Amino acid sequence: MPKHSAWPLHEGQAGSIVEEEKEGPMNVAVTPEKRDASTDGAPAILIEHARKIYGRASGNRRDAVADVSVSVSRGAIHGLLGPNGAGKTTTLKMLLGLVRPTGGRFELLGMDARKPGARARVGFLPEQPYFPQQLTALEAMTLYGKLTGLSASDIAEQAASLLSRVGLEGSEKALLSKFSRGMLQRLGLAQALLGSPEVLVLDEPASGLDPVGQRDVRNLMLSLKDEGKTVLLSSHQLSEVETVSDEVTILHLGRVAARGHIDDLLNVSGQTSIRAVGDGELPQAVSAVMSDLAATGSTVVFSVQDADARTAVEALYNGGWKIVQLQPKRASLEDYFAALLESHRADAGSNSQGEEGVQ
Amino acid sequence: MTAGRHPYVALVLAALLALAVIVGAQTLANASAPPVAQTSQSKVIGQAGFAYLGGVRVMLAGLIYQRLDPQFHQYGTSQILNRIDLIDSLRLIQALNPQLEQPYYYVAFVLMLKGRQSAALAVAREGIANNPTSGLLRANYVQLLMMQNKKANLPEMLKQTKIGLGKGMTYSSVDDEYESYGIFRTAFIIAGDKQMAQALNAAQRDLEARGGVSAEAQSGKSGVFGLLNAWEQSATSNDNE
Amino acid sequence: MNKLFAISQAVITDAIRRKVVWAVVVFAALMSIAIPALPSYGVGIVDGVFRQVAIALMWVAALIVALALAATRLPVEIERRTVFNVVARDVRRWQYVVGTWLGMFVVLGLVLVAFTVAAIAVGWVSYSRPMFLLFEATFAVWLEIGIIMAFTVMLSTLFGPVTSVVGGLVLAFVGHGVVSFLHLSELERAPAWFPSLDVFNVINPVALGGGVSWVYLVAMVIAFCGWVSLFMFGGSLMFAGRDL
Repeated sequence: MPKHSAWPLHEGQAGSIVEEEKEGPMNVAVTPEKRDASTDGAPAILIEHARKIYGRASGNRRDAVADVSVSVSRGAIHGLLGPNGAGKTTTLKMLLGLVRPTGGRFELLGMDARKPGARARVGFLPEQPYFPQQLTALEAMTLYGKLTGLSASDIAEQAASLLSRVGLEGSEKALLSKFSRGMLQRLGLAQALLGSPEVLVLDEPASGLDPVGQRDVRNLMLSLKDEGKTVLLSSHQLSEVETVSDEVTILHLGRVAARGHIDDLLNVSGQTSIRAVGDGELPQAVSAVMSDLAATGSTVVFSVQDADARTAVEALYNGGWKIVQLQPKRASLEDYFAALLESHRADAGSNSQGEEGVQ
Repeated sequence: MTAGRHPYVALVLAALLALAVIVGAQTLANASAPPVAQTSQSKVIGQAGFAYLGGVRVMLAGLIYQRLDPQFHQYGTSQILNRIDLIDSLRLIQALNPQLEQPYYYVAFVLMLKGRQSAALAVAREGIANNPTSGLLRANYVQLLMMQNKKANLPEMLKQTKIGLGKGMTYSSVDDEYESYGIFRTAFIIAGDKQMAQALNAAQRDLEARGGVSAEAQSGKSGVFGLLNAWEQSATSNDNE
Repeated sequence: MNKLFAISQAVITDAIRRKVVWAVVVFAALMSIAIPALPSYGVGIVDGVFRQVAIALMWVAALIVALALAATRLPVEIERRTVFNVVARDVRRWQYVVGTWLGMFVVLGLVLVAFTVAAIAVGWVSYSRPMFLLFEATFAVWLEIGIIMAFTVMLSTLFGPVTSVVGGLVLAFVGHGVVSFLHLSELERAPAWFPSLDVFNVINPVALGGGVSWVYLVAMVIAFCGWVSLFMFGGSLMFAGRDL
């Protein structure tokens, strides 16, 4: 029987993963786990019971953020998701001092985010960034370098290398008024990296970029993680978040709808996904227990209950099939997200009907 | 209660401190101000603005007049009589730049030739009022008085002639001065003052000798001055009769 | 302070590269050439009147540049979100407001110097002598318009460009309205206890007299510091309370 082990989680569902037995079928690829680094010390980002109400004075009260709590471990990539109007950007703005919170506690690397110096080690990429039009890229980087507190020599060194890192080499002296949307996005990433900040807050970092650019951004985030940096990523591109994030928090209508490690949220509890290559029909023992079969050429992918995983593996092996991959069954983040929102809407609907019934 | 905890307290304290600084500075300034009378800054700016606007209106008047002027030189006397339509444009030029002379005598002439004598004289007087040192407009007025009734208006004609020949009168061109002397000479002829008439004749010859008097002016046949010449001759011959 | 100067420098670079600032300067310089030919001043334009008109022209041109920069900078930065890259860093809101104003103040100074050089050149050609005394008036105008600029920046932290421009204009004219408020003769100096911008009115001393003393110049600077501090403090408080 495969072993299951519980993960330490911040909050959310306790999940499990099938661990490979040392004996038994061989050469089975296991999807590398994306685990966060050490959680020693204060979290890199801590948001507790954040609240933002607009329009209290005018009477048009709107709860942009009702009650949001997020904790981002040091060295992790944390995705902040939610539909439009969920409160993602407002939460980030409260964290970074762009918006005054109505309530809540905000900490950056253990410091109160409102205090001077708290944001000294934080880099921020706003959504669809703009820059002073009459400056060149290098002048803009120099400006932000000075605002970060870097010396002139550090600015000179970092500005050129960061512009090159984000693919803007050769455009240092071009006026920003001539930059395309994608180039401005890249410049936004570059300025966020000035001073080698420990924490990066990125709001839609791949916005406006072509597929190659989006890939570059993903690789950049993963390399930042390798460097030990913490990334808080807000994005609509679920595939991007799923690929790079260790943890996610999903917001809906100003509240947290779900949070936890990606694997725990997406792994379908109690099921195992098997990918195998072979000729002919699947063994009867496999057909009896499998579900969700997808076949492409000689490759098949299907799911079985965890309890039937060994039976299926042995049947395949005996039938001359080659087992390519064995992992916990996993929903896509998109499917999970859609299902979560649907259930929230259904709950909201039934609550209102319940209230009507009471009336 | 500390300023740090209560920003409005900080604001009030800052305002009071700033006002104290301002009042102190103004005290020092008043004590050290130079002994030159003040002038209102708003008034100076207003004056300058009006002057610039005046420059604009003068420029506009000049532009409009430049389009009209050639027409007066192209047409003969009888054709000018038909250009009543130009009066509105000329009055606009007068309104924009009261210091432009030509519109006054053109409008006055056309009105006089159309038989609107009172209106013609009123325009001529308006021109003199706005340009008291213009010799040309003074002569124009004398000319119109002549055309109305040279005998009844003789005293006024002579009065205006003497003013026109007085100190401080100015002319925009030698031609204007030459033609004006001609009108004043006619007035003296009508009055029987041959000495003054001859003196003005000599002054005209003097201008010719110095050069600058156009052949047109000398011929006495140019535009409205052609009319004047004919009128003068008529006035003189009637007088001789 | 480094951050404040960094913001100022960016504002200066951005403003200098905008054509509108230099279009106003060139236009004003051309208008100064027309001064000797202006009507409505009686017989000719003597050099004292030339200086009066030049100062008036300088003041109006400076006001236009000041309002154009001060009323639009912050609202545009907020609307286009360029302010996020600055404020999200460890930059205090007051540093942003003061740095922005300081940059515009420097640009204003450059504009005024350029215009004054042009006016002195015109005066030198027309009246055969250089009127360097005009620089005293330039200094006074620079300080006064700098105050109006500070007030406009303060308003722009909460309001849009139109409201800010109107506010700046109101201050410009109300600031010289003490004569009307207190029913004074226009030849009298404004009383020291009534805060006004009349302390910066050096038109007659520069145009018709021998200028003002060093003490008077220092008094102008002190008054300038008082006004600007007040408006920058207010602007910083207003901006600190604003959600971006």
